[in-house]
Amino acid sequence: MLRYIVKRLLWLIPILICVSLIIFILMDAAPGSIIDTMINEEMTQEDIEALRRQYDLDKSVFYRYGKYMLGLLRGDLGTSQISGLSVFDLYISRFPKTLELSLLSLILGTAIAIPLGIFAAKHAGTIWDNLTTAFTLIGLSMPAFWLGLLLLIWFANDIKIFPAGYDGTWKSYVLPVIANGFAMSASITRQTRSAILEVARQDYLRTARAKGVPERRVTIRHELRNAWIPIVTQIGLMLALTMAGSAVIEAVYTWPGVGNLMIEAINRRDTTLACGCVIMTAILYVVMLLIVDIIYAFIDPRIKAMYSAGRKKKRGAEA
Amino acid sequence: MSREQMTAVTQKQGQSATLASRRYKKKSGFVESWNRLKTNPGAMFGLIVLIIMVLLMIYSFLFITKDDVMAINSGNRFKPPSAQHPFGTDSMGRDLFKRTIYGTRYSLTVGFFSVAFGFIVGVFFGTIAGYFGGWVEEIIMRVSDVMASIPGMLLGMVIVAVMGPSFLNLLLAIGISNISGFVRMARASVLSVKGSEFVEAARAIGMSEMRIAFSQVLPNSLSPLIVTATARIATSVLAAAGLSFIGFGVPVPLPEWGALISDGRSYLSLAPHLTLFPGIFIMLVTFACSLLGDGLRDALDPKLKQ
Repeated sequence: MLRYIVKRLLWLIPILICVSLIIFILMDAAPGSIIDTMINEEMTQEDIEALRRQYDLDKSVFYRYGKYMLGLLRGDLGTSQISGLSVFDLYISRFPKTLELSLLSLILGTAIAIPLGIFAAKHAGTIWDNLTTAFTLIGLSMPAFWLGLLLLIWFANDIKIFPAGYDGTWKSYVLPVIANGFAMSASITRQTRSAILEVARQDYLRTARAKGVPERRVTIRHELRNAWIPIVTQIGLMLALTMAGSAVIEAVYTWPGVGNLMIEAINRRDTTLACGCVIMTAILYVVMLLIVDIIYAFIDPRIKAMYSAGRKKKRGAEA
Repeated sequence: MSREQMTAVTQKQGQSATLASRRYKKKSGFVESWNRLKTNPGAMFGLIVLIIMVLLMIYSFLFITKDDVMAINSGNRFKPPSAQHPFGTDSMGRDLFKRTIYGTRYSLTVGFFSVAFGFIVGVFFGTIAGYFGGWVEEIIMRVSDVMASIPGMLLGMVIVAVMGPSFLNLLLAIGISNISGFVRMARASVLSVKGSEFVEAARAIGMSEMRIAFSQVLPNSLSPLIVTATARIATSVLAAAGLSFIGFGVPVPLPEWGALISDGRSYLSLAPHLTLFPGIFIMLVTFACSLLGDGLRDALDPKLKQ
């Protein structure tokens, strides 16, 4: 198990380097550079050259990238060109709001999805199953930002029970969490349904039922436990995707999270801030996918076994 | 013979029977799948919606000019839906129905071409990786891993930040994020048919490896790829709308659906129809693609449905 985690962590390093390098090079290629706003008409050519040297613009992009990543390790991603604040601090100050929104949506989504998925699988082929499928398809096809706006029209404009934007109270969480959670629940429901159906015909379920284990217990202890892996993967993936794509829903509710910070940065051509936000979010995404992988190694003893030495061969022989 | 053995034997016979019948069906694979698809009401609904959308797009190319959807008519602002303006008018007095219909060209083309781009590039490399294996596979799969590690939404924002908002950049951004999924799928399905007898046969008659990979192995692993492609169109349309909504897609005032919704956002209480109608169109297209994708999955792989 330890070997597996170490292996995955080691593999994380090249991925992180490649991902951040690609983004850095792309952002670096953006028209205009960091010193453009500092240059004024009184400056001589030498002053500009000095400025270029100061910001390493005379060196290669890889040099700047290396320096940038070393800075990242120290929590220094430069300062925002517009506000002059530390990019790292700005990101960290906005991050909790994005995390809260994503986690709450995930909790709501999962709380709806897992019972619904089990329900659909238990009634596979019936009208209930079809209704659930229709519900999930609608959830998958409805843009979260559009649902968010519809909720605003109904609950913030028509009957004013919830605020239209973030105001610090719990009430301002309700609409964005519903808008975000609905889309999440759709894909988790689908995954739960198919995972349960996958294990539904296993012999051990028949054995358990034959032993007289109550149906509820069969579902929870035997079926769900064996169907967990794809479901957990889907949940983790949804969390990672929601956090990485939080910009859209945050734009709807003027949410003070990372997504809005990123949009502002890009719109104002604050390249340092934009680059910092994008790289931090990309790193976060990769790390979260890794955590999902590790978690599912924990819940699946087969995967654990595959990576502990010695047993691997035995498995091969059995197969 | 014990009971277990008996069941094993009957199962085997059953399997070979289905194999035989499948081989027979292969001759008319397309017709067979189509016949199965026809019986699926959801898939048919999806297909019809998509056909209507395409017809609307053709209509908009023929009969709606850019002036129609861009001309400002300040005397006609925020009209609610009526017989003359089925979807009402927007803050500049423009007819929302015409603008929405005009918008089909953006969403449908982004959906189709970004997936086509991801499909062609992804399937090409995925087939090579799966068929040839070794270090070629290793390199392709690692590059694909890196690409999969950049969330599509983020990549879209970066590309737009660098190159500016435009329709082509939007298409490119979503297309790139579509690649890695197809690489993986193509590789997996190629691996599953690589060892088949027809590959041996092709080798025996002296086909080149590259030709075997693309003329023998690939066509036999196409069905899961087609299913994924259909579902991918739905997510791509959504991603494009999302990016346009936050101002990183098709630049305003062009009537892309996401941009239309973003436009209507400022007038939620005054004119909710501005938000409502373009959203319904996005939903219809993605819903239709998902339904069709589900139907195709069942039709192309009847084993799954049982």
